[in-house]
Amino acid sequence: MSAEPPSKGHGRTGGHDVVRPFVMTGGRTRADRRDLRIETMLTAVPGATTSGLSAEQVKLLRLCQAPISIAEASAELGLVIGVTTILAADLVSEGRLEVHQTDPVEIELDVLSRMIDAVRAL
Amino acid sequence: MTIKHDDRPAGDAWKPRIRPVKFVVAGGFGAGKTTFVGALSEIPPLRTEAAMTTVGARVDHRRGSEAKTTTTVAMDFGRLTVDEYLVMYLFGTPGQERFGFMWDDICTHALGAVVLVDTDRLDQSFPAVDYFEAKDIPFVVAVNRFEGTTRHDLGAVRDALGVSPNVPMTECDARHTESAKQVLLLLLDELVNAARARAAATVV
Repeated sequence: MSAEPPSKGHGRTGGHDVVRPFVMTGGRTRADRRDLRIETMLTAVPGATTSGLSAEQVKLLRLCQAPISIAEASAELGLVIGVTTILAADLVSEGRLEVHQTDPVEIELDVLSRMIDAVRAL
Repeated sequence: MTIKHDDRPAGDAWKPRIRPVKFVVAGGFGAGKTTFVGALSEIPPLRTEAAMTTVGARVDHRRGSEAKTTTTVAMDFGRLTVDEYLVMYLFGTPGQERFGFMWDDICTHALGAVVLVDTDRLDQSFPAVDYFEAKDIPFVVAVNRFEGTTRHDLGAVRDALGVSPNVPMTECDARHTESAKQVLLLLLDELVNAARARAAATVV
């Protein structure tokens, strides 16, 4: 299941190139982790190495030096959401990425207040 | 004797949790979703594409060629940073109804939703209203006032959409930040009420 990084085709190909992303994910079309959603934020675990990673995973890990959502990372990498999610899932299971998210049922009043203040200040 | 107000371990690198929160902006094609997102976002709306999920559920690995029948749908989203640890994301749903199966991917764990309504194409708002009601996602309805469109009484729009009386409804002009702000604040008020109700229910 070694997803060889493609030697060409760099740049923002978006979802139009279908074969390349399929190769990047080692043929997988769905991440094993179902908790990675479009708004899920990722951060690189301090000290995480890039050894053994594909070119796209290295790029993703670099983007995650500061917290970034899967949607933003996808836009940045020019990859469809599903591919980014699969790449991220591998990095999470290898302990290189940390996952941050919010369960709506546990949202506290003070968090809502902070959002209201921010929106009012726009 | 002093009372400590927090329980952060002394000397440890204690940090608040990083929390992304997601809001969904739905509505029919041309209802103004991207305009609305752009009016509130601190960055020009970003576009990303979703595709693999549509293929994923249906791919037969023994017939690899099937994997190439991919369609992509574009999704625009914006961002509003509250502080270092709290970020609001606004996702516009793809307008086409035929991508309804993607909605779960977009909407799962959304804090709330805005349904933008173009009164000239009222029927295009039905799927969104039905979806958020079925999934119990708090939402508000905002009638986007375009110049030259027929004005309708909000009560009439509510009746036509079949939206229950407890769902907040308002008018807006999605092009203007001030107007879009009011819609988002209406939704946030709704969420505050829901959070208070939850808190009251747990204190028995």
